[in-house]
Amino acid sequence: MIDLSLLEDFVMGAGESLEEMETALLALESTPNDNELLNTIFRAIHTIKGAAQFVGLERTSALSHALEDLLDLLRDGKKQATLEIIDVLIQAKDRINLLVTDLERSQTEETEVNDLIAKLNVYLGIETVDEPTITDTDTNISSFLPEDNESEIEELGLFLSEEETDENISSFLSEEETSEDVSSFLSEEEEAGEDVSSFLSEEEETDEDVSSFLSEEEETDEDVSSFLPEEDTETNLASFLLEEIEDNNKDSIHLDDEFLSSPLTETKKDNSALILNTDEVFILPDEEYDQELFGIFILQLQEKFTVLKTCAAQLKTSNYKKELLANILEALESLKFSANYMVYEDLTHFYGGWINKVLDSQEKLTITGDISLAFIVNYLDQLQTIFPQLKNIEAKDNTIEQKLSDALTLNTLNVNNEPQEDPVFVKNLELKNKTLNNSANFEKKTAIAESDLFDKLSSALDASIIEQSITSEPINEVFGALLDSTEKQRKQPKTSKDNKLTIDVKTLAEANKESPKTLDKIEKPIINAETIINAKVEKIEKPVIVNQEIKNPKTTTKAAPGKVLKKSIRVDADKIDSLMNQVGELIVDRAYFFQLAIEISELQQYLKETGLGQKDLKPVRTFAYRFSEAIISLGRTSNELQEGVMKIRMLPMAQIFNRFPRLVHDVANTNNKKVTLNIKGEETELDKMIIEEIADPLMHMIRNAIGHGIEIPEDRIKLGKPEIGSLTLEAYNESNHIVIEVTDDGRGIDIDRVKVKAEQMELFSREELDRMTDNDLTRFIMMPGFSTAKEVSSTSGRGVGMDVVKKNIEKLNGTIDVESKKGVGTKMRLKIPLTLAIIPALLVKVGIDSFTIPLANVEETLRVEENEVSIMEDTEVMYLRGKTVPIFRLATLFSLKSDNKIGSGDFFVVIVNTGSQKIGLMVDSLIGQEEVVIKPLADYLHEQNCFSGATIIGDGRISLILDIYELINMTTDKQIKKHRRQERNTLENEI
Amino acid sequence: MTDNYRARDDSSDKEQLIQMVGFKIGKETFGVDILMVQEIIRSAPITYVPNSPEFVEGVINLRGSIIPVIDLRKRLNLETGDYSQETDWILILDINGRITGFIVDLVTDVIKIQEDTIDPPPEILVAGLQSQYIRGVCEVEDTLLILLDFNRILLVDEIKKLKNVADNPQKT
Repeated sequence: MIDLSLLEDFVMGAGESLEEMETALLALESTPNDNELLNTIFRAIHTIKGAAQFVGLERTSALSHALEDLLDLLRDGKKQATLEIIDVLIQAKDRINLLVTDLERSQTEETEVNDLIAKLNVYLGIETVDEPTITDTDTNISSFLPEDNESEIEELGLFLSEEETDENISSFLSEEETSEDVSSFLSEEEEAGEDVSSFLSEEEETDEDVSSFLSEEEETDEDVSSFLPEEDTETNLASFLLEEIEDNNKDSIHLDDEFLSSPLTETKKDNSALILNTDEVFILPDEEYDQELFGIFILQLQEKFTVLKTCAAQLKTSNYKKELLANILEALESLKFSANYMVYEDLTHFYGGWINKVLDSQEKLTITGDISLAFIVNYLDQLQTIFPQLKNIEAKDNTIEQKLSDALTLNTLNVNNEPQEDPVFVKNLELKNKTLNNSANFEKKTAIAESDLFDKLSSALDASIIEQSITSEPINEVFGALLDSTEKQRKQPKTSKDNKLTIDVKTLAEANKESPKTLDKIEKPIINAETIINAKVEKIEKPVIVNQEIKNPKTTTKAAPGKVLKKSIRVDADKIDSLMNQVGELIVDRAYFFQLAIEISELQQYLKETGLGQKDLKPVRTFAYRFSEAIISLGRTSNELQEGVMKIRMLPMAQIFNRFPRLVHDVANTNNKKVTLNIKGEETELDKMIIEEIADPLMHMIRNAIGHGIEIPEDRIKLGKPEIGSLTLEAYNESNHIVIEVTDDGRGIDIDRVKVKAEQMELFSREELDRMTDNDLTRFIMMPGFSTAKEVSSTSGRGVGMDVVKKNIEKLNGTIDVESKKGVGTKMRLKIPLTLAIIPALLVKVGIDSFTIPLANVEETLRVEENEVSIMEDTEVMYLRGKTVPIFRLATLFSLKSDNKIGSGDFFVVIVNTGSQKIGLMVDSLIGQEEVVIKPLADYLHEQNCFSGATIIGDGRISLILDIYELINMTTDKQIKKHRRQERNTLENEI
Repeated sequence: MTDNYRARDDSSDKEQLIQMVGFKIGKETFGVDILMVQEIIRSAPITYVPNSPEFVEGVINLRGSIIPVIDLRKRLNLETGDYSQETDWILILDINGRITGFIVDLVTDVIKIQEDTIDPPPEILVAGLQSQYIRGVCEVEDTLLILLDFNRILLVDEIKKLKNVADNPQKT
């Protein structure tokens, strides 16, 4: 069952974890024994598993679980992270990725995982052969088990819960036994356990031992309270274990009356006793239910059960039968609903039948005024059998009504009694056993005590989604603390250490009493051990969480080592965008204030000219001064604000760089090439939006570099290059830009082939091509449809890639440069502004209109004399440091009126480039440099036009932002067309 | 397309009083659903956008947003007559989220009409206007109110724009 509302979060979280995992996996290839990496992988997969279980994704959690097992072996050094294993891990990671994609698309897990799990189990299987004590490998959930746990009780206490197989149980009990046959083991155990007192005194000596036992008890107890269906059997097992131990200890331990009042003991006893009667339990599906959901389910069940009981009790005598029935019905409906939610079909059916009966009797009631109540009691009994935990009272009484009243009175009594009870101390172990037999009185008490405990545990259960690393010590402490608090609730002034011991002993003694009954039951549960393992694996996480419930700082710090809460929040990108917009407005306003300041000083000047004296001018001057001060302050604040908001959007390049090792790995493999990827400057930060936009272009470039650039190893050797090609990704800041370089040491771009191709495509004539610089020629590779590849491969060759790259980069106001030397390698250089929303720009004026040129594109501004410009092929050009640069008049391009008349003195030229091409734009005047906020233009103004947007300048007017890339294209297109036309003309003329 | 729009509108507010903002271009009276009108402003400084379709007058700065302004007269190819008024009205319309300004000669008043009095656009030209831009016509106080289909107006202008660019690539 999948919880859809959580799915989105899961998909997002899983994506991140998978990325992290992949990075680590690839790194693991080179350093297979790096524990830190293994831990990272483990963490990632564990996060996924936890989330998957929480959401209810069976396949994902099963697969990730199997992965965890394998990783655990690697981590413990039991297995070497061979390439083979890493490959399987990568495969598994991909599979999870597929599952996540499935979920994203269709909200169901479609991809099969069993084959992979089987594969993983092969590795796990090999491992477990070496460990005779762990024989369970049938289920994919196997060894969480540290090596040393067989011999150490405290650890066993911990790990038992997740790891049990019959062998383990026996080994736990007998410390060495490995008998397959449980019953025989039992007898053995009894024999072996003759020296119980020594066993017990051992416990006394080491608190840890005891507390570990305690935690074991506690865990079992928790199992009981969490009522997992599978755990019915488990409870048997657990209580059996206790009894077993107790059997051994029987003679030497005597218990005080008070011990029996311990909630733990009572719970345990009750449950174990009850389970004996639960032969006809419903078979509930034993999938791995989400613990939290189950906790909630059980909480509700308990609540409703109490309601039902009360109602049923009153029904007999009450005059308001109708209302009571309605209450019952309501409770049943909600129970049915929750059962249905948990997909307990049998249970739902059961409730359904019950509801029908209640409905029937409701009808009867209206007709006859009287109804039979027996069925309600029957149902309640049945429900108790299914969920034995509901039965807080010995089921010997015949009617629920009686039970209820009994329980009520006795509970009150007990509550009153408790404070008077004597403090219990550890050393009090030599106590009388006599009270074992008069437990009846205390059993009633559990009604309260158990529910207390239950609340605690279920809340712990709720918190159990959080992963924690598991060590035995914290858990013991936690349980100690838990017990402590339980105990405190009961107002028994004991120290926590004492509690541990006493409760332990109590539990043991109590369980002991029940042992004969459970003995014959033992075989059956053990057969079910496999099922239990499923449920138990989750348990390991749970106890540690308890520390969050209990205010015990010591345990908190200890239980969560190395798990620092990440101080990050997920924010809707829209919110940041809107904040960014506001900041943009502020920047515009600031510019407006600057404008005002200028006007004030102009006013000042004007007043001066009109003949105002210095005295009269003084207030104006003071005001102007203060005003400019205020503006400076405003400017500073708004700058900081702007930077701050920008930083929110900034993410390290590592975000995309980290995807590439995998890409390189894959592409290299498919092309039979050997490539090492070097990544530099991944900490360089870039606007998130841009990061997303450049991921694709970068991917193309890397594919190209490997696919076309780097040669196959044999060729490389022939050429005298190192066998393994190298690909370098580097990012660094350059003023307001980020530069990303992709460098390979491959064969480089074959200029000659480019020429041939260009000629074929009739882009230019041979002579023109010959005249072009290599740089101009390499730029052709970015033209649509231009490919020098001889054949089209799966990854590249259609001549689309670089075209797309260029488009994408230029969309970001970025530039792309290609440097290539045949046989030596290629370097692609992307230069991208750090952000898109606010850019520094140069404002120029043409006629009455002002235009904005992104400073990124501006190379320099020149004042040019008329005579410096000459005409070449119908285009005005000028010589700039020995190179010709074409010059275009913006006024002419845009059909505007210009103040500049052709042939009148000097004018301004702004040299702009798009990385590869350089042109000069002739403008009337330069206004200045400003930070402008880019605002989008309507699509029909934006497309096919040379404006990338508009901005509002200080005086509130609009200035259009030139799209230099489009502008250059436009001009070159024009040139080419003109050229073609001319050629055609000359051709025609010749003919 | 036009029919689709009308059909949808009809079903939603059948037999209902609808309010139209009436405006004039030349002598003709046009109407636009009041719900589409975001605001009406008097002449704002318009920034010319070079190389844009002819009917695009430019862009204006409306409280920080840059909004294209279309000269409806040119857009609809209406006769240019006495159009030289200093004080234009600009109707700011929200057309499916695309905020666009339309220059009209005069905004008259809000006209209330019954939805069912709207007739489909006649086949023949109305006021020299192609019927594709007309959502319907309606007689109000002896004058013909032409309800314009602004969705269509913006839609076609894309086509036209493309044509415009193709026919007429950057005049030299």
